[in-house]
Amino acid sequence: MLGYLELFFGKSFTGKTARMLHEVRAVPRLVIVDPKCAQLSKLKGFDHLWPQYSAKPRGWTDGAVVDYFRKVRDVGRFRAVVHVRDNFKEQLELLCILFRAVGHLTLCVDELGLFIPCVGPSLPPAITSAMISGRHEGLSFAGTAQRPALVHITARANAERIRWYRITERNDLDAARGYMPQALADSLPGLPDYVCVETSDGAPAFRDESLVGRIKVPGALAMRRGRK
Amino acid sequence: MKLWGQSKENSGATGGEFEQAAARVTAEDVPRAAGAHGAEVPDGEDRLEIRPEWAEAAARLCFLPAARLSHPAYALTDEEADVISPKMQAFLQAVADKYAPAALGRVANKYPEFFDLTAALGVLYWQKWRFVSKMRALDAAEKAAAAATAEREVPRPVQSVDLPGVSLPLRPKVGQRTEDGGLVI
Repeated sequence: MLGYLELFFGKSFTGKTARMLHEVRAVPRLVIVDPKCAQLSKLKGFDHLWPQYSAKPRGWTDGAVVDYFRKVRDVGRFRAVVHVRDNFKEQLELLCILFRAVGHLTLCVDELGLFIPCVGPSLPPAITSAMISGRHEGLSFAGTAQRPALVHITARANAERIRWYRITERNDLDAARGYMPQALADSLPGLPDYVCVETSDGAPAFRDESLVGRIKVPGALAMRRGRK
Repeated sequence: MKLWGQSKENSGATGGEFEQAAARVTAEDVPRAAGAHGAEVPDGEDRLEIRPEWAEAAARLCFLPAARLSHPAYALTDEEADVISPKMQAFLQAVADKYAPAALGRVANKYPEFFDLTAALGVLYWQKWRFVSKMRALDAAEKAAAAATAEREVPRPVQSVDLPGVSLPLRPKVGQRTEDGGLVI
C-alpha cells in the first residue's frame, strides 16, 4: 500500500520498478508515466496511451490522454500507462493539471529524475501541488529514479517513504546518509537485487528482503535471453 | 496557489472543471484561452528578452574601468560597440535562458539556507526600497508645495505713493512781519 508520496531509488535492474508495480497492484485508479517506452510499453492489463506533444503552441496535439480520462474519470477502476518520449517535465505538468480535475488516483512516474531534475528553476505549480497536497486530496504519488541526488529536492523532502536499492555513486550515497544510520548507508553499494533499505517518517530504517524471489523486473527475462 | 482539487471537496471534478483542464493541456486551445484576456501567451514560459541597448551598455561597461583608470581611449566607440553588441546580446540571452537558471537551481539545491537568506534579504531590500521611494516622493511633494506657498507669499516691492499735499505754514524769519502784520521777534 502506497503512502501519499513514495520514492524508489536504485541502479538499473535492481528491482525498484518491479517493487513499485508490486506496491500498486491493488490500486483501483492507477496511472503510470513511462519515459523509457521500453519494458512498460508491454505491460499487460493496462491501457497504453501515446500522446503527441507540441512545444509551440504548448500542449498535446492529439486527444489520446484527454479523451481517455474524459471517459474513465467517473469509473471506479482504470489502469493506464502514459508513454512520453520527450519534454518530460512539461508533459508531467500537463498530466498534473489534468489529474487535478480527474482526482482520486495514484500516479507512478518511472525515472522521476528525467521529469523533475534537481537542476533548473523551481517546479511547475501543478507538479508542486501534486507533491505537497496530494495526501489531502486523494492523490498518491510514486516515483523511481536511478540517481537520488538528481531528483528535485521537493520530491525527496516530501516523500513519506523511500526505498533505497543498490546505489554506488558517491553523491547518491551522501544523499542517502541523511535518511538512515551509517551502517545501513554503507551497505547500499553491496545490496543484492530486490533488496532495499526502507526509510520512512516516524519509523526506523530497516533492510527489506521480503520480496526476493517474489517479484521480477519487467523485461529482465527478455534481456537475459537476449544476452544469451 | 490553488491546491489539488481544492474546490470539489474530494468528490470528483465536475464536467466543467475537467473541460477547463482539458482545454489547458490541449495545444490548439492555448491561444484561445489567452485571447479571453486580450493578450498572447508567450510560449507558456516567462522569458527575459535581452534588448540590444542592454547588450551595448554591457559591452561599454566592460571597457569602462580601463577607460577610467588607464586611458580614455579604451572606451568603446560607436562603431566598435555596434560590432560587439550582437555577440554580447547572444551571450546575455544564453545567461538569462540557461546559465542563470541552472546556477540558481544548483545553489538552491546545494545551499538551501543561503538561497533562502538571499531571497529573504532581496524581498526585504525591495520592500525597503519601495518604502524609501514613497518617502522620497512625499518629501519632494512637500518641498514643491512649500516652494509654491513661499512663492505666493513673496512681499511686493514698495511703491512710492504721492500723498495729498499738506502745506505747512512757513515760519517767517526773525525781524520780519507775518501776513497779519505781526513782528516776529
